[in-house]
Amino acid sequence: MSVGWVFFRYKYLFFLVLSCFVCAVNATEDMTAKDVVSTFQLRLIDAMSGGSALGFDGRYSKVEVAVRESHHLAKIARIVVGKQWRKLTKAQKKLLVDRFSQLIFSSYAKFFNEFSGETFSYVSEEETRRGGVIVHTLFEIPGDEDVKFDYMMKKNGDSWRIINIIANGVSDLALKRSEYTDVLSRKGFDALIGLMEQKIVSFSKES
Amino acid sequence: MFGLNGRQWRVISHAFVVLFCFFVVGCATTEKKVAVEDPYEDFNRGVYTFNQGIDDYISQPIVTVYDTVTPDFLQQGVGNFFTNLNNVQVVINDLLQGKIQQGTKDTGRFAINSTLGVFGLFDVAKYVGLQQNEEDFGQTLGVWGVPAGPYLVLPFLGPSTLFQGVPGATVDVLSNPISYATALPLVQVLSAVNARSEAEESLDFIDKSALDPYTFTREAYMQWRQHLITDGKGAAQASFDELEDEIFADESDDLELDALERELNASVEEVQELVFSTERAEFVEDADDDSEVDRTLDLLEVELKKSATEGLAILEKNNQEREMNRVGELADAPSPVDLD
Repeated sequence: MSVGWVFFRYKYLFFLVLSCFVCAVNATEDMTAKDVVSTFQLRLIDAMSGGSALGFDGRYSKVEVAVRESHHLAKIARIVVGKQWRKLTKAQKKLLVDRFSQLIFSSYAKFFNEFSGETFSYVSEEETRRGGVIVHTLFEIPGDEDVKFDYMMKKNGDSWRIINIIANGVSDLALKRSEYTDVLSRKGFDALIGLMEQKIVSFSKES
Repeated sequence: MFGLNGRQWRVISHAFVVLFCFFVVGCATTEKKVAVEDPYEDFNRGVYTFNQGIDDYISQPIVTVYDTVTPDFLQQGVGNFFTNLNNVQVVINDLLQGKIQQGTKDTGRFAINSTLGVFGLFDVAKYVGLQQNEEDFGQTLGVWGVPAGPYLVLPFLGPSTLFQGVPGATVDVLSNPISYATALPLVQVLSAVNARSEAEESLDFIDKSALDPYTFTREAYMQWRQHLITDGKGAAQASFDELEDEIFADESDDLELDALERELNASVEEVQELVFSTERAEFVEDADDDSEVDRTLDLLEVELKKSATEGLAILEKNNQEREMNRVGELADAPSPVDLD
């Protein structure tokens, strides 16, 4: 059985296996904050390059690995619900982190769905007063204005993880925190999960 | 952003410029920490819903027709024309904020596009390195130290703030040449249609992706205005300062969070490891044993696709159940006759 035949027959599996290799090679433990960001950005560009050929599921698989390896998803989910986190049961917390993660993967798979020569470039980094790092980058779009992407990083154990992304001055963490805490206080936990699930499903259909 | 590409964020930023600066200008504070004051939230949500209705039933259909009948290059020219006229307001505010050098460049931009660019229809200036700047009187008030004040949603006009947005909008309207084209109402209508058309992509994005479009718009608007007032300087640091205490101070949850993440990752890693080990075995095993490997791969492929589709099916089922419950509740609700 030739490798070429296997590739065409089982390309879905090969994408996944390739992702495993990438995961193994890029274990985040020895990576600097800058490395974590640039690896994440490379993987994102890779998913974008696949575009419609990969389809939603293909892009989802790629960005899932990229985001899991670079973001501290549980911490982000915890921050976006603010003080109400402590009022949640263990099962609710698990459900929230799970749906939140799926929503992030789906969003990336939906909106990073085409490639027109975009590139990320590293600009600088700075330490924050409590030991965090902000990595400043530019998203360069051919024939269009650059977009500033700043990554707020926190060390989790031995690995640097993305906690927040600020695009042209708009902080996604702050934005999501306002949204999630508002929905939680106005409509409750079940409604929040329901809204998240609706978005996940709609993203998968609108690819 | 988490799941939002750069072009979309640029478009959203641009839409806020178009929507809220062309007609009305907004808000934000000069303080590092952006605290959203929204004491009139109930009223604002009502106006937001009203504006959505106007947009759905009046603006959107008009824009759809405009986009259909107007070729892209013409739309681009119309957009350039109004952006160029807006530079009168940009230059005035450059000077009011003491940005002399930028004011000189923006004056040059306006002069080049008004002449070589045929009344602004073509953006020639960008080819000589003169980028479009965004300045308005709301920003000027922010630079002067005027606080944003409470967040407001104005009928027809959208997001604003009491102390920067409302007075800023008034001055901007007065400093925009379009306001004086009273003899040419068509130009004013075209200006409004063009503005709405340029905002289409971002409004559509907010509609599709925000869990709560009102809160999303408010938060993004306030942050974006703050970014404009500070010209992006220190915006990331300010945001980190705002959130750092929360991120770093409360680390008591970290062990729990790590455990949660590990638990959720475990199932994914399990599947990946299974696939990886099978693939490895495939290359080690004798090529004659194709049939067994094929069967294993077939099974794995089915399993993987099944788990992906099952996940979505569960979510879809949840959605359908919610919808049925909602319909059921409506059906169970007492009719006016019952109430009588």
